[in-house]
Amino acid sequence: MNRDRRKFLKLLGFGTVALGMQPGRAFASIDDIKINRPDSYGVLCDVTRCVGCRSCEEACNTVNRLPAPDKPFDDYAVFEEKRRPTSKAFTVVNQYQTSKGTLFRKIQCNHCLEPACATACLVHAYQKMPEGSVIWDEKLCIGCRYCMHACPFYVPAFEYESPVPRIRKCTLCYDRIHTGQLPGCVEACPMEALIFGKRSDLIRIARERIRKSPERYLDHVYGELEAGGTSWMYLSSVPFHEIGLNTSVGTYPMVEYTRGFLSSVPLVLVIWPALLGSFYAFTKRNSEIKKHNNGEHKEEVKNSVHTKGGE
Amino acid sequence: MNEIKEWVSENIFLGLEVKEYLRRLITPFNIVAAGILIIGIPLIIIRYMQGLGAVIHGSNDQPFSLFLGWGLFCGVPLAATGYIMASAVYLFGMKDYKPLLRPAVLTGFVGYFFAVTFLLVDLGRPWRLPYPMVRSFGPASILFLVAWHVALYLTVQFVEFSPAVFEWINTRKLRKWAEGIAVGATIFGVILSTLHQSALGALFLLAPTKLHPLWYSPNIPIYFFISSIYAGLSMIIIESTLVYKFLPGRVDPQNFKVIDRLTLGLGKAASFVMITYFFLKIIGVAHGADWHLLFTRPYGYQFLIEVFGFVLLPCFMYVFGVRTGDVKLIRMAAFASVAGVIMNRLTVAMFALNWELPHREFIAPKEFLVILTIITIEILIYRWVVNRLPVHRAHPKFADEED
Amino acid sequence: MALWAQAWGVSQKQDAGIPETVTINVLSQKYIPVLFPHQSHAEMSESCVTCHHHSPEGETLACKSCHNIKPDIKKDDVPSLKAAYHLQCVECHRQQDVELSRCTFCHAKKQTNAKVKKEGE
Repeated sequence: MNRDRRKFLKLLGFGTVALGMQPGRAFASIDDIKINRPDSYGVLCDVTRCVGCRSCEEACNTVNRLPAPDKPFDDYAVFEEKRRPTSKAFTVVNQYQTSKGTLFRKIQCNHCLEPACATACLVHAYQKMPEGSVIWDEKLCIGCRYCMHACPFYVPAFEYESPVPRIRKCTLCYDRIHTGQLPGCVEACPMEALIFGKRSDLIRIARERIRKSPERYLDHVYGELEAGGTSWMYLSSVPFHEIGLNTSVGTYPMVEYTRGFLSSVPLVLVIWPALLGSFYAFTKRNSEIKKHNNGEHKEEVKNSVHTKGGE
Repeated sequence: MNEIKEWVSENIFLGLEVKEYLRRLITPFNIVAAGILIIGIPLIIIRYMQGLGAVIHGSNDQPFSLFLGWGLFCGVPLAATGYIMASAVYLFGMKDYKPLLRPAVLTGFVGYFFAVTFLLVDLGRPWRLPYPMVRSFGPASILFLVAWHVALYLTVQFVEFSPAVFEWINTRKLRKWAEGIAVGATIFGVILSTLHQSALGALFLLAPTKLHPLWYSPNIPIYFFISSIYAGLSMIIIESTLVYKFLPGRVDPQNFKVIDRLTLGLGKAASFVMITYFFLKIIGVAHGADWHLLFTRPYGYQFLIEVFGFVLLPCFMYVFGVRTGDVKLIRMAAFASVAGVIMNRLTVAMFALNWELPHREFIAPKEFLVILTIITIEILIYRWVVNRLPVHRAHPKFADEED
Repeated sequence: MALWAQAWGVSQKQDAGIPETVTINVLSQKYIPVLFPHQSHAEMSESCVTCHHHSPEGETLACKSCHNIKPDIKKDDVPSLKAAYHLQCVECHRQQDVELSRCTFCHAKKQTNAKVKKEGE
C-alpha cells in the first residue's frame, strides 16, 4: 500500500510539473504577426502579369542545382495537366481556364508566418527565419512526413526514390537573399509578375495596385491573412479558387486547431492519477472491508460452534 | 550448464527432441506463413535499399498510405487491450477477469511493439527513430506527444508483462518487484493510453481543409479514445476466442469454465461504450451541421454504413448476446466491432483524407504484401510466447503465489 | 498602360526619323538580342506615345531613359527595363495568339548548356 501511495504522489508531482511545462509558446494572434515581424521579406505575385513563360521554373532549377527535368522548360504541353512542386522542382506554373480567360499561377512554398509544417515537425526540423524563409534542416529530419500532411497548400515534396530521403521545397532562396540578391524566380521573371521586398511594403504596393486599377484586380490580397498570413502573396483578376488557390483555408494558422487538445494534456496528467488512484483506493478499501467482515463472520461461526459444542 | 540445457529443452523446445520439434513445425498454417515471409522479407529489404517508393504507396499529396494507416492508426487502438484489462483488475477490483489479464497485456505489448516495427519500415530515416526522444524536441507537434507516449507506454507494457517473463526464467525476486509496481504501472499506462490514443486522432486536427467534414471534428481525439476502449475490449474477446480454439493446451483448464461468463461481461461493457460512441458521432454531425452530407456519394453512405452497420449493429449484437447469454453472438459482435474500428481509422487516415483531390489510388499489392508479412511475424511471435510463457495458465512453480 | 488590340489600319505618320528595325540588346544574357520590326509596329499604333509613353512634348524617349535595369519596389509604377519591355509587348501579343507570347517568338535562346533529358536517359 505504501509503495502505491508513493507512486501516486510521484505521478501527481509529475503531472504538476507537466502543467508548468505546457507548450507555452504564445500562439501568435494576427496582431502579433503584424507587430512582431514587419521586416520579414516576401514576394508578391501578380497573376494578371504572368504569361506562363516558365522562366521562373528554369531559374529555380539553375539556382538550386536541381536535376534536369523530363520535359524542357520551353515545352508548353506541360500545361495540359495540373502539376505540383516535386522533389525535383521546387516551383511549377499551372495554366487555368478562368472566367477572364487563360491565366497562369506559380506554385511554391508560401513561407507562412506560422507554418503548419514547423508546428507539425516533432524534431523541430523546420525553422521560420527572421528573413521570412521557412527552412528544413536535413540533420534532424526522421522522414515521418507529418509536415506534408500538415501543409494546407500541399507543398513539401519527399524523395520517395531515395534510401536517405529528404524533404524538398522552396527556400525563398535563403542563401541569396542573405547576400542582397533576389530569389532566382523573381530575378528571372520578364514581366515582373514577382516582386520581392518587405512584407509590409508588398501589402502596401498590392493595395495601391488595386486602388489604381480596380477593374483589373480583385479587391483581396491572397496570403495577407490566409493561414495566419503568408510571405508569398497573390493578386488576381478572378476569384482565387479559379486559379487553384484554396479559399477555405481560413485565417487561423494551422497550429491554432491543435491548441485545444494540447492544453488538455497537462490536465490529464494531473487529473487522471488522482481519479484512478481514488478508484484503486476505493476498491482496495472495499475488498479489505469484505475480507474483514468475512473474517469476523468466520470468527462468529467458530465461536457459535464452539459454544454449541460446549453446551 | 546442465540446468540451462534442461531449461532450454523444456522452455524453448517445449520438452521435445529438437528433431521432433522441427518435424512438428510442418503444419498447413506454418507453411502458408513461411510462404508469406519468403515473399515479404525480401520486399522489406528492398524498401531499405531502394527507398520508400519501391514498396510503399505514399505520394507527395498523400504521404500516409495503407502501410501507416494499418500499422499505426489501426495497430494502436487494437492494442488497447492492456490498459483496459489492467484497469479492470487492479483499479476497479474485478478480480474475476484475472485469467484475461496477462493475455490482454501481452496482446497490448506485442501490438505496440509491432506498431513501432511498422514505423521503422515507414519512416524515411528509421535509424533516427530516437531523435524526438533525445536529439531535438518539437513539443508543439502532436506527433511528438505520440512518439513519447508510445515509447513510454511500450516500457510500461513490458513492465506489466514482466512477471510472466520472470516466472518463465525463474527469478522470484524480480517477479515480486514487478508485481509490486503493477498498480502504479497501470495508472501510468492508463494516462499514457488516454493521451496517445486521443493524440492519434488529434493528428488530424491541423488538417481541417483535408479531412471530409463528416469525419473532421474538434472532438476527433475523444472519438479515437472512446473507440479504442471498445476496440480493446473486443480484441480481448477475439484473442481468447482464437487461443482457446487453436491453442487449448496452453490454457488453464479452469479458465474454460469461466470464459463464457467473462466474455459476456466484456460484451456488456463494450455495449455501453459503443452506444456512447454512437451518440458522440451523431453529435459531431449535428455540431458541424453536416446532415446534408450524409446522403452524398460515396462519403455520406460510407459514414452511414460505418456508424450504423459497424458501430450500432455490433452494439446491439452485444446487448442481445448479453441478454440471451449467447456467447457466440458476442464473439461475432467482437469481430464486427474491430472491423468497424479498422474501417474508421483507415477512412480517417486515407479515404476521407484529401477527399477532394483527384486521381487517388489505394490499391498497392507490394505494400499489402509487406503488411501481411509483418502481421504474420506478429502472429508467429504471439503464438511462440503463448506456447511457452505462463500467459493463459499459471506457471506451476508460481501457482501458489498470491497477487 | 496595357496595350489592347487597336486599329490595324495604316495611319498617316511622318516617316522621318522612324527606324525600320531596332536592335534591343541592353539585356541579353539568356537570349540573343531582339531584332524588333519597329516600322510595322509604328504603323499599327495610333501615335508614338502609345508605346513611348510619358515622353515630354515633341520628344520620343527611349525606354531606358526612365526604366532602369535594376528593379525598385519603391517605385512600383516604374517597372525595371526588362519588365517594361515585356509588359509593353507580351500583353498585346497574348491577346492576338498565345504562340506570339512565347519567349522564342521574339528572341531565340543563346547556345547554353541547357539541360534537358535526352531520349532514353
